[in-house]
Order: sequence, then C-alpha cells, then structure tokens
Amino acid sequence: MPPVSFAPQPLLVCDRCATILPGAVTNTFEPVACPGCRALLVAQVFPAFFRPIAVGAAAENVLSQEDASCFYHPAKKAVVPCTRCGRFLCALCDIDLGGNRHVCPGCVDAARRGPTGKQDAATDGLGVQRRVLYDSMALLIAALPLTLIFWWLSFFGVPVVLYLSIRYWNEPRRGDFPRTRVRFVIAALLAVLQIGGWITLGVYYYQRRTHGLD
Amino acid sequence: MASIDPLPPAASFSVAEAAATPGKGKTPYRRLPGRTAILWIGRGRLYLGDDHLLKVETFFFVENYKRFAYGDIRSLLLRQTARGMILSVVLGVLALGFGALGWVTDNAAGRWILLGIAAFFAALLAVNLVRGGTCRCQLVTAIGAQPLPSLNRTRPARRALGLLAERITAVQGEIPSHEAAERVDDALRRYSEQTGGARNPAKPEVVPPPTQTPEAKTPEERW
Ligand SMILES: [Zn+2]
Ligand SMILES: [Zn+2]
Ligand SMILES: [Zn+2]
Repeated sequence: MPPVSFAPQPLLVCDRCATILPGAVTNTFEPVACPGCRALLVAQVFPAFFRPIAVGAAAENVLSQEDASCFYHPAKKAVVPCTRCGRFLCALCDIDLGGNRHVCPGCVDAARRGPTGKQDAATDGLGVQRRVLYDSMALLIAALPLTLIFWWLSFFGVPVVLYLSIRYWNEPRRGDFPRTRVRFVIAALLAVLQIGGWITLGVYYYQRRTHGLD
Repeated sequence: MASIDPLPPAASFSVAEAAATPGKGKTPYRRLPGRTAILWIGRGRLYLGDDHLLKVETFFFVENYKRFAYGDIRSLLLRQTARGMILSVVLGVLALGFGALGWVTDNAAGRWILLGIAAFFAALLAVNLVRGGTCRCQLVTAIGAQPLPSLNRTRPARRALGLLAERITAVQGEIPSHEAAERVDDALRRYSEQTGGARNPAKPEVVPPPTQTPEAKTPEERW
C-alpha cells in the first residue's frame, strides 16, 4: 500500500491499485467503480481532509486556521502524533524514541510513574498501548496438561501458573476493558489439583516400592 | 525559539484520568459491529470512545491499542472484495465433490463419513452466504492510512462506518456531497499540474448534482 501521508495535496487513493480517486467517488454513499482497478468503492471525506499536511521541522507556527496544531501548543504546527495517546505534537513536544515511535511529555510522565504508582500507565485512560492477558495465558498453561497429551507440561506449568496468578493478580482489573479475575482463580485451582495429583502418584509409587505392593 | 510556551503540567491529564477511574468495571467505549478472528490466535475489534476511535488487536495473549481522534480522521474508504464469492465457490465445489463421492460409495460407513464432510462444507457455505459480501476498509489521518481489518463484511462494515462518520462529523462538521466532490477534484487538478499529470490515469469527471438530497439524512443513515 502506498503511503498517502505527506502528500502535497489532499488526495484520496485507492488502497488496491493506488490510483488517485476523483471527486465522483467521494461522499456518494453508493459503491462507485475505481477508475484504476474497477473495484467498487465507498469513500467519505471530512473537513480535515482539506487541511494541508504539515511536514515542517522545528516547531513551525501554524500558518492558517486549518493547519493541524499541537495538542500542547495550539499555536504550533503538528508534525507527528504520539504513538501512545494519538495526540498531535509539534516538533518541541515530540520525544523520538526511535523505531518510528514518538511520545508526548504527558505519556512519558505517565509512564515514569510506573506500574506501582497510583496512576500508572495502565489506568490513565489514554495511555494503554498494549496489554498482556496473563490470566488467559495462565488458564491455557493450567488446562493443557488435562488433555493428557501435554501431561508432562504440568511439571513446568504449575509453578508458572502460580507465579502469573500472584504476580499479575490485579492486572485484569486495569485498563480500558477491565476483566474479572475468574481465569486466574480457575487456573490456580487447576494448578493446585495437579500438585495434588503428583503427590498422590508419588505416595503410591513410594508405597509400592517399600512395601512390595502390586 | 525563545518565546516558547511552557509545557503544560501533568494536570492536563487529570480529565482523562478522572474519566477512566478504574474499579467500576465499566468502559466508556461502544463496540462497533464487525470482527476479525484468525483461529482464535488473532482478533480485531473497533470501539467508539468519547473523542476517539479505538482499534484493539489481539495476537495470542497481547492486546495492542491504537487511538484516532475524531478530529484527525480525514477520510474513510470501503472497498468491496471478491473474497466472499471465491470462498463460496470453493466451499460449494468441496460440498458437491464430497457429496458425489458419498453417493457413489458402496461402503455404508464410508458413505456416511463422506456425506458428513459434504454437509460440513455445505454448512460453512451457508454461513458465508448469510454473512454477505466482503470488503476492506481503512481510515486516513495526516499520518497515513490505517487498515480496519475487523470491517471485512460489507453489511456490518457500513453500519460501523456510519456510526463512526456520525462521531467525526459531530466534531468536524460536514461537507455537502457535491462540494466534497468538487474540492477533491480541485485538489486532484492542482496535483496533476504539479506533477505534470503523469501519474494519475483518472481524469476528474464532471460530477452530476446529487439526484436525491442525501444531506437530509444523518451521517449514520447514509452509509
Ligand atoms: Zn483501484
Ligand atoms: Zn501521548
Ligand atoms: Zn507542542
């Protein structure tokens, strides 16, 4: 897909054949054939479409009403969005982390307060970029040995399950989409059950060897 | 460079923090129709927030979140694809093939197994037909195009894009259809002049005035 960003003019591009689309395709709300590849397209442009795209370097001033402006400095031209919260940033606010990652001062501040801080990265509402579903992971690791094909996984799985359940106990309650802790509870129960199973087996074999039982 | 406004204190985050106070188990997001699912491994979903669209992609046990402020979305594009039709043909051929094999098999057990497989493919075919035509969607911001893989069936995709367009126009206002077409052609003309018209095979066409008055509808109903 060709990048449509940083075009000198606002252009609408077919995502299949990269043909620049004419006005006849836009805002019709009925499928219209792409002049390039005949694919049926429905497109809508919004007022932001006609805003010139800022490609400026060091914190240029906003030239017209229509320039996208920095969230923190309304008078400065936006050059990049924060990869974490999506706010538009001017060259001054942009903190380049490399690897095409840019963050804003607010997000750096939120991240610095860390996972133990009261308002951590996972709860600031705007901040979450990534969440690891430790509870689903623990449940899968705990459940796999029950299929018997993966019975040997129980040796490694049980400590991992217990570690995940304790270490990340509060994690499901965080973020934009809080979950219950039911997966952790079930996973921990399964782990305890497997420990019980191993102990029973151990006792059985021990007794058979020492007492010569059949 | 000297007269730079001071950076705002962290207090500018308090509104968002207050809005997302954890613990109540409620989210301010509304889920949009449409989903991707690749064998339970990868999933995609879209949500409407107060001031932004949220795209959640799950791969194995990691959820990735991307946010697009309604004010920053420049355009929405839906392209109908042939994927659904091709899938129907493949499933139809498989169902017929296994059905025919079952028909000519003498072995009773083998016949039932083959007919069962045929019925399975026929059921998949029925599901595919009920789900309707397929498509691909994307939104474009100043930074680039962003695919919306969860909007892969035309019917739910149009419903979702309509709901999204409603939020966007609530923030940005609206351009009447014919005016939008004129301004897009205008930009295309200027671009062709700048580049010598070499790249673009599409000529700006004269846009007929809208036959009905789509402006009478809400953004949601139009999609
Ligand atoms: Zn095309
Ligand atoms: Zn940010
Ligand atoms: Zn700034």
